[in-house]
Amino acid sequence: MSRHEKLVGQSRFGPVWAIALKDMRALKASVQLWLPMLIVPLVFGGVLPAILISVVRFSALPAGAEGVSRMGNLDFLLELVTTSAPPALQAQLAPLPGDIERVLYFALTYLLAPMFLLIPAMAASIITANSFAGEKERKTLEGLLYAPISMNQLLLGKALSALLPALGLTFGSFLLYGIVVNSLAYPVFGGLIFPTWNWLPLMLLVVPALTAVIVLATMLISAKVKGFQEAYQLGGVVVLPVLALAGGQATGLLLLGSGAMLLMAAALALIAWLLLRSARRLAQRHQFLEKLG
Amino acid sequence: MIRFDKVTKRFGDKTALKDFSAQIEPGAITGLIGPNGAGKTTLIRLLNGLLRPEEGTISVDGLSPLQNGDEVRRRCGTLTEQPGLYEDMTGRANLRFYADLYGIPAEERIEELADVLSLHAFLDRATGTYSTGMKKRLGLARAMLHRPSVLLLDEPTNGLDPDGTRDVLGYLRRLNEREGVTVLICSHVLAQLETVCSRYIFLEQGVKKTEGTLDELRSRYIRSLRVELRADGWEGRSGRFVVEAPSYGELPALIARAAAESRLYEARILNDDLESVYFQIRKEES
Repeated sequence: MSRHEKLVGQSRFGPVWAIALKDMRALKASVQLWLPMLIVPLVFGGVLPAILISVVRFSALPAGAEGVSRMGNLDFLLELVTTSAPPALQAQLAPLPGDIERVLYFALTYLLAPMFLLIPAMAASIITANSFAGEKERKTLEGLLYAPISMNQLLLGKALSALLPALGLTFGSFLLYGIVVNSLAYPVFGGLIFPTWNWLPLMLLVVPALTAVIVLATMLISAKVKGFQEAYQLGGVVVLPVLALAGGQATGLLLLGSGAMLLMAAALALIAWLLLRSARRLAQRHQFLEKLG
Repeated sequence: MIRFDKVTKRFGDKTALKDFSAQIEPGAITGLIGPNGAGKTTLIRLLNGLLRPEEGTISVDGLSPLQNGDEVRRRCGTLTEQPGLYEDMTGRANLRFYADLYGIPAEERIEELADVLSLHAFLDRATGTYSTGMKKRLGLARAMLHRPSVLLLDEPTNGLDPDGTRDVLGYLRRLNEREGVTVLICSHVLAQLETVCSRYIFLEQGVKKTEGTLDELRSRYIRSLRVELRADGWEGRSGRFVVEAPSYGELPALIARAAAESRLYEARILNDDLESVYFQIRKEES
């Protein structure tokens, strides 16, 4: 018996993992699905910070006092940073040599935070829509329903198959972002600036909770519609408000600190739990085919 | 033993199955016959707990598909009209995946089924490249992977060439004889069913019209027999010609007379095969 068979063979978790693995392999094989999902993190996690830092290092900083205006009108941002930022941030910003450095520091460690909520939300909704509605569209769902697996196992396997790649992608972009920022900005700050401690609860609590909410919401939609396109479009209706809400607050969350993030993660976890409950109630085996006659 | 007791299933205002009662004995091969839309697929889904009947009860070895669904599904192997294969995966990967769902070791069983159903030539190709017959065979392998005691097959030979059909039917018969697997086959291809089934259930628009062995059905529905004779000079006729016999009882005398009075080469009943019975039932029961 191979290691794989051992893993999958016995427990109640076996079928769950089998479904998750099958879907993740299918995702890997589908270039048109994962390539666009890879481009967004590459642009936001690598290209964008690289451009930002390069502009500062090679255009703004050498120009001295003039440099700030070269970056556009940053008065508003500067005022915000120097007056209304919480004391912890003030303390981080104070020792920096000039305003340009302060703006860059603020942008790199706070302003770009929303994209780390955007990436998992985007990936989770696309992968989930594809895995569930796609199964319906390709008429393979009925075959799964004939297998002796509970609907909970099926839902969990499907959820994992979207959750794991979405989180993997997010942590991958986080790593890429950290490498790009720290290596390029090292000469400016003379040290590593990313991540700050506040990123820990953001990445470890808020991001997984948000991803779970999006996966479950898209799953509920997928169970009700016929095809991938429909699920994905409707999924957008769910994803966009969540994104607007959560993404918009990401910088604020970082500013407010771990307490706010704990609250946010707890709220998201509660929503996820409610969604899971309704998914289990709605997705009863005998209801899946009812409409197909 | 599979038992349907006054089962009614409706989709909206359309009744797919009405007051259906039947028993399928363990170890039998039963043919479920009826035109499209008769309710055959609904019946298979009900048996697996994929649909909930509005009225009536269903049991498989005393277990309810709704309450003990996983146990029932473990006993049943189901092949639907859509084989439901993952087209981007190879045949082997499809079977491995299902083996994982059932929690059974895969490799040995896959080899065994590949031998029996002649899958080796294409087992390691993506199923998207398969012909209909290949898909059907792989679907059958999937249905039998976990050694079910009941096989539910929806059009198992649809799309197979004559060789494939003969192989599959032969395999089903062997499986039934050696391991006592109960088989329920839904099909339109009546001539094929006739060679494997021991009993038949006729379904039309969700209503059971009749059931029985072929002999029982013949005696119930075939009123007069049309017999084709090939003979030289009998009652002024030669070559192939058709005579009527009022019943099976009259047949030996008729043939004996023809043999005595002419050179008789062949005598063949034209209207008592399953197909004739089928059309007779549809005519009489509608």
